[in-house]
Order: sequence, then C-alpha cells, then structure tokens
Amino acid sequence: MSDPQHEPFDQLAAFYAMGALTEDEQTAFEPHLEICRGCVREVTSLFPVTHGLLHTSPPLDPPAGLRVRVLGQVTGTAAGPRDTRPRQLAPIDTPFSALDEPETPSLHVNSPRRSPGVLFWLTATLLIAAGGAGGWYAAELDRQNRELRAAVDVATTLAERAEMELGAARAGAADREAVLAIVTGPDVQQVDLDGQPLAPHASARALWNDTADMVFVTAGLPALPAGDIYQLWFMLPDAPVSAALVEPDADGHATVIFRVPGTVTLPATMAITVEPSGGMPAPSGDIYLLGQPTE
Amino acid sequence: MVLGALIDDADTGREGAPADDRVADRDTVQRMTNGEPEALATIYDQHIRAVFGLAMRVLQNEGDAEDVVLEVFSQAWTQAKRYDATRGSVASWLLTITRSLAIDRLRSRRAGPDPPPHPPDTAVVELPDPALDAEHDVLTVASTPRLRATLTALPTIQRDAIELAYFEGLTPTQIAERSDQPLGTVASQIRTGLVKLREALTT
Repeated sequence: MSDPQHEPFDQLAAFYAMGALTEDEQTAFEPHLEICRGCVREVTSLFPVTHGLLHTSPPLDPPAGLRVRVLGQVTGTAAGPRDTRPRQLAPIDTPFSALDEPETPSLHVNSPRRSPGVLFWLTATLLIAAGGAGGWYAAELDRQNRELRAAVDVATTLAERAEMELGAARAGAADREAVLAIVTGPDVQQVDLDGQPLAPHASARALWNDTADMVFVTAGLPALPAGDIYQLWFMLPDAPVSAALVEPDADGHATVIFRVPGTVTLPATMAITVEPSGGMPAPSGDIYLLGQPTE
Repeated sequence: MVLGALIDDADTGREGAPADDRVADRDTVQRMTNGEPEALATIYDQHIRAVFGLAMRVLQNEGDAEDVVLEVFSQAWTQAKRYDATRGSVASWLLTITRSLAIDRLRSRRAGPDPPPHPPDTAVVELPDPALDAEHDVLTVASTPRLRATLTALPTIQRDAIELAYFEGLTPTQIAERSDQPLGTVASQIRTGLVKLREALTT
C-alpha cells in the first residue's frame, strides 16, 4: 500500500464497500479499483461486514394499519385506508409528457397504466370525498412523480453496480491472463505440494516459466481463525525466503501470482505455514503444505 | 450442521424462525412472481418488523419509514422475478432494498424540497451484494449477534463514524465535518472499526 499511485485512494475502499462515497469520489475510485488488487481485496473482504450491518437494527412493530395500506396499494387485494396524516409531497413539476412515457418502468403494481380496479375507485372516491378532487389529483400526480424518480434512481444504481462489477471483472481478467501467460508459456515447470497432517486434504501446485513470475494454486486449505494467515515460503538451504501471503476463499481455494525474489534459484522446496496476520520474516508456525522439486 | 439453523431469529424480527423458513421464503417469493397477493402478505408478515426497524433506524421518522416500507414491498412485488436465492436470503434482499430507499429519502430530505436528480448511492437495490452467495449470507446472518455486540463495543468515534456512513449515507467529508475530525482520522477509524467487525464475523 506504499505505492504512490495508491496513496490518493488509501482507505477509500472501506467507504466504497459501505456505499458512502460521493458520485465524484466513486467515479475517481473505480478506475483505481481496476488496477489495484489490494483495494479489490479490501472491498471484497469488507462486503460481508457491510452486508451483515443490514441485520443489526432492532426489529420494530409497525404501526397499526400499515399492513392494510401496503397490501392494498401494492396488490389491490386488501381495502385499506390511505394514511391520513400530512405527507411530505414534492412539488409537482414533472412535465406531463414524462408521465406519459409508455416504456417508463413503474415500481408500483397499481400503475396508472393498468386498468383501475375496485380498490382504485374506492380509494379515489374516499379521497375525493375527504379532500376534494384537486387534492386527489395532486396526490396522484405526486405519486407518479415519485415513482418515476424512484425508477431513475434504480436504473442509476444498477448502472453504478454494473460499472463496479465490470471493474472487478477486469481485474480478475488481468489476473487470469497473467496465470495463462505463465501456465501456457514455454518451459513451464512446477512443484507440487502435499497436505501435511494438519491439512491432509489440502494440495497445491506452483508453476513458473522463464519469466520471474510464479503462479501458486491451492485447494482444500482449512479456514483459519481471525488474526492468522497462510504464508508461502521458498525453503532455501541458507534460510527460508517469504514468497507470498495466501488467503483462501471459504472453500479453501486460492490462486496467487507473485514475483519470485531474485535471490531464489528455482526449483526449490516450498512450504506453507500458518503465521500471524501480515506475515512473518521467517516461518514460525505449523507446516500445512510441503513440496519438493522432482528430478 | 445445517447452516440455516444458525440464523438469528432477531435478525429477521421473528421469534423461533427455523431454517425451513428460508426455504419457505424462497417459495413464497416464487409465488409472488405468479401474482399471488397472499404470497406478498406472507412475506410482509415474516419480515415487516425487520424492514420497519431498519427504516426507522435510518429515517428516525415514522411517516417516512412507513412510506419506505410501502416502496420496499412494492419493489419486491414488481421485481420478485429478479430475486436470486443463490445470492442471499429474502430477508437480506428486503433489507438491502430498505436501506437503499431509506438513504435515498434521507438524502432528499437533507437536500431540501428539490432533491438532486441522481442521489449518489452505491447501495444495492436489485439484489444483495454479488460478492456474496447464499452460504456467505447465512453465515453473515448467523453472526449477527456477535456483529451487533462488537458494533456496540466499538469505541464511540468508530461506531459513530460507521453508523453515519452506513445508516445515514454520509460521505467521508460530511462525517469529518459533523464529527469535527480530520478526514484521515475518520477514514482510519472507519476502517479500523470495519476490520474489527469483520473479525467478529469470522470468529
């Protein structure tokens, strides 16, 4: 994260994951997201948190009458009185032509484009009786206005979401291209790693060619407690050299691409250990995977 | 162990909600796509307390919260075909819509009588986050008591900043101004708080 290209965006990932950036900030951040694997990881790792926050609000009993109102207005099957309290009505400034757009999506089932049902006329009659036809007409226009705005908001949000997915997909595509370049390159070599007693079902393979990049693919690694991380090592005769930190997904799968340090001569014995989050300069934890080069 | 058995009942506002309810919810949404009004009534009864609770938490106004509830179930009714059970529970789907609509309303309220034409909001409307699948969703929901406890236990500055961003839709700059803290401090505090919450989800 000391990359000068990253610094202007440092810590924006958290706000992005929370949906708390302004439009301008988001527009500036998304191109960075396409090239910064660290930020992609950060956003991805925080999504479960922001998702979980949805569920932390204490449940509340709704006011009496809301059920009838909702079911009545949405499906037209339950005759419910409309809310008689003052509502905050936005100014009715939408051009009538906009309201008449035939293809405009509506968020409500009781769209004015459908045939009015019994409930519609009953509600209209009651409103006319209570507040006069003008009041009903204004309220109805306001409702249509708000529906149109909501439809625009939905479309905008979906477009923003699509852009974000595209950014993540591009980053993923770049990774896949890098993997393919190594795996399909000339003179590809490999070291297979076998699961050790702590992870008997785990396995991994390290692949490289004449470039300085290595692909490490693993499966079946068990989940670790918070604060721990897997670390990959080149087990050189003099001293182990750290290769990469490995963060498997929930299924224990991980694919890591990294640059092989210049001090490492391949092929070399490789191992995965469990270390404190952030990694260690030398292995200190148990070995989960171990592989030696074959002649 | 059945993952669904881990669901915290309080998260959906229901008492004793078993794992089977999640399956029933999906079936009910499927019936909504067929235009069965009783299906919407069922979904409403199952989730209204959670939806109304979240709307109230964001809006702090009963009338606005009621209007948002109406919009939420309208959207659920019209977009039931888009619900993808592999991406999360019905509860998460409804709550995602609720948060998005409530924050939109809150921002419009702050902006005055003429709301901005395109309120910036990256909150998901159509579906829960695509990075999540149903299993993650279940695990996340199952961890809600820990998440709630951890959120409560966070230092005030971290908790307030997270709540302002997440439940009030404030931008980093707005949070910095409101809390009278440097922008970098706010960003750092939010990230630190979120990392602690993440740990709560994974322990």
